Amino acid sequence: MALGQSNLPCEPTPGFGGVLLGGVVARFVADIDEEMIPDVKALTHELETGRRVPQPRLRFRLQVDTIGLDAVSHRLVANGDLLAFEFDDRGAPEQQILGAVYAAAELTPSLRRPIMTVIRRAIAWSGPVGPELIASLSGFRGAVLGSRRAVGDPVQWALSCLGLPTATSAPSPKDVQRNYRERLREVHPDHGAEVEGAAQRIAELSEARRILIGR
Amino acid sequence: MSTAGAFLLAPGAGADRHHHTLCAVADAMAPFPFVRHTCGIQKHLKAITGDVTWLTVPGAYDPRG
Repeated sequence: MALGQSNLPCEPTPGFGGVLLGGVVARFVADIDEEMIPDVKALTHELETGRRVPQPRLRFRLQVDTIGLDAVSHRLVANGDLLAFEFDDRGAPEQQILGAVYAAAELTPSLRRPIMTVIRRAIAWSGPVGPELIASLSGFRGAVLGSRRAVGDPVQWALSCLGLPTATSAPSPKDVQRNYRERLREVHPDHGAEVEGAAQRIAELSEARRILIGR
Repeated sequence: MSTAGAFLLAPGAGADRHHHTLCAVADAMAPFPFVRHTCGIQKHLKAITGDVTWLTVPGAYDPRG
């Protein structure tokens, strides 16, 4: 197998690119022999540190020559603010996993480490490959689902979520806390807000606060 | 949305007879992110936020047999 063209924006990490690579791994990891999983993890560590890796891995050899080979493409697409994977199921699952890991290894050293961490998180994923996975790979906690805006720029999403000026990159903890409390009152059913979807909205506010002030 | 994407999806550009042409142009422009004209004529517009490609032997050998 060989690597082809990619568009993997990974900043701020993991970005859409990291989420896509993690999604590919999570999609195909259940289809490979369980005994191969330690080798996949070992490969991520070897590539993360830029070490030369012996070939073949998982019984497939990485090559540079692409003549006569078929392209397999995976995409992360946005319908409005909703992100979704579009997987190409052609090829053995081992190739899909290797493709994602080797594509991550092509990233700059500063991005390689966090994206390999995302890939290892994806290896351990056992839930559905959908919005919950996107949120988890993006580092969101609680019931927050990964939206295009949140994954693309978590800080801007958090500022917007709490009604803070989006031109501010580092609002004061006092402002964050004040807006968090105000918004919480607006969405909490105890203060007259709708019950349906309240848990999700509250979780988003809490996550936005955590992103901005780490609590 | 990129300028190219906006141009491709300008009102009236998605008539049935142009659908396949638009899709072909959109595919040719990959992997750059842009709004893609897909099936459903302006109903399902998708922005590709990331994509990755690798190449395999056609009818790839499956080590599982």
